[in-house]
Amino acid sequence: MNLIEIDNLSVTFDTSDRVVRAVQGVSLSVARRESYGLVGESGSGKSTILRAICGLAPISGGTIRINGKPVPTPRGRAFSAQVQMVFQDPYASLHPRHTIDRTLSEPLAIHGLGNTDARVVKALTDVGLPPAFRFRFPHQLSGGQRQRVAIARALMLEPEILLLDEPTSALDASVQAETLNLLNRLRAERGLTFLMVSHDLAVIDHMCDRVLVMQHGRAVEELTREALAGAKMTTDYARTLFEASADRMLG
Amino acid sequence: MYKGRVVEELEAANLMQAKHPYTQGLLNCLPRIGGSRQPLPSLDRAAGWAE
Repeated sequence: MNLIEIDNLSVTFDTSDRVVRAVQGVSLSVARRESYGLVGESGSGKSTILRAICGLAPISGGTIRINGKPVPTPRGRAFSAQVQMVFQDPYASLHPRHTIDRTLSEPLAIHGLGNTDARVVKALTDVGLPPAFRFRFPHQLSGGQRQRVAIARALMLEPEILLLDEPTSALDASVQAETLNLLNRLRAERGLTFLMVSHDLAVIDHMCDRVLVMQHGRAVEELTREALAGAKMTTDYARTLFEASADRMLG
Repeated sequence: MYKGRVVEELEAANLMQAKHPYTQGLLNCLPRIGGSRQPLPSLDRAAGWAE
C-alpha cells in the first residue's frame, strides 16, 4: 500500500467575483520512503496540493489517503504527528516574536511530550545548528539558518512524511546545496517520505525518484528520474519545461 | 559580490565562463539534471576572496 494516495483531487476557491479551479482531478501516489516531486510554473496548482493535504486548502472533490485512511477534518493531532510541512519562505514561517526555543517546544507541549530541553537541543544539533541558537529570535538568524529551524520544527514530532514547498527557492546556491544535503541525510537516517514542490527541474532531479509535471491545475505527465534525465517525456509541455532548463544539465 | 566587494564582472550570457573561484563555486553548488545523487558541493570560502 502507498503511504500517500491522492485520487482525483480538486481544489476550488469560490471568491465573490470568480471561481478559481486551482487543482482539477489530480491523482498521484507516493510509496513509503519515496521522494516524489511536483513541478510546474507558478499557478499550476502544485503548492495547493500540499496545502490541501494538510488542511490549508479545501478539498472540493476526490480523496486524500494517508496510510490507507482518508485524512480527517479537522486534521487533528494524529495527523500532525504523521505529516509536517516546510514552507517556502523561512522569513514568514517562523513567529518573529517567539524564540527558537519556544517555536521548537510548542509542538511538544501540544502533544504532551516531555523531556523538552533535551529534545530541542537534539533537534537543533540534528539540523546542524549550535544548541545556543535556541535563545535567539528569527531575525537574529540568516535565511539558511531559519530554514534549518523550520526543518527542525517539522521534525519535532518525528513525522513519517515531510511536505516540502519550495524549501530552497528563497536561498542562495550554496545555502540551497547545504539545505538539500541536509534534507537527503535526514530522509536516509529517518526513512522519511518526501512530497516536494519545486519550479526547478534540476532540484527535483537531484531530490526525487518520480516527478509529476503540472500545468493550469492539471497533471500533465508523470516521469521517473531516469525518464527525466534521459529526456524521455512524451508531452510537449514537459519537454518545454525540460528544454528551458538546458543550462542546468550535466556536461 | 562577496563581502561588500566586487570580485568579478562579466556578460550575463557568459556566466558559465566565470573565472573567479567564488563565482565558479556558486555555480558548482547547483544540482544538474542527470547529475549524481552524492551530496552537492557547498562553498569552500577562501580568506583571499575578501581582499
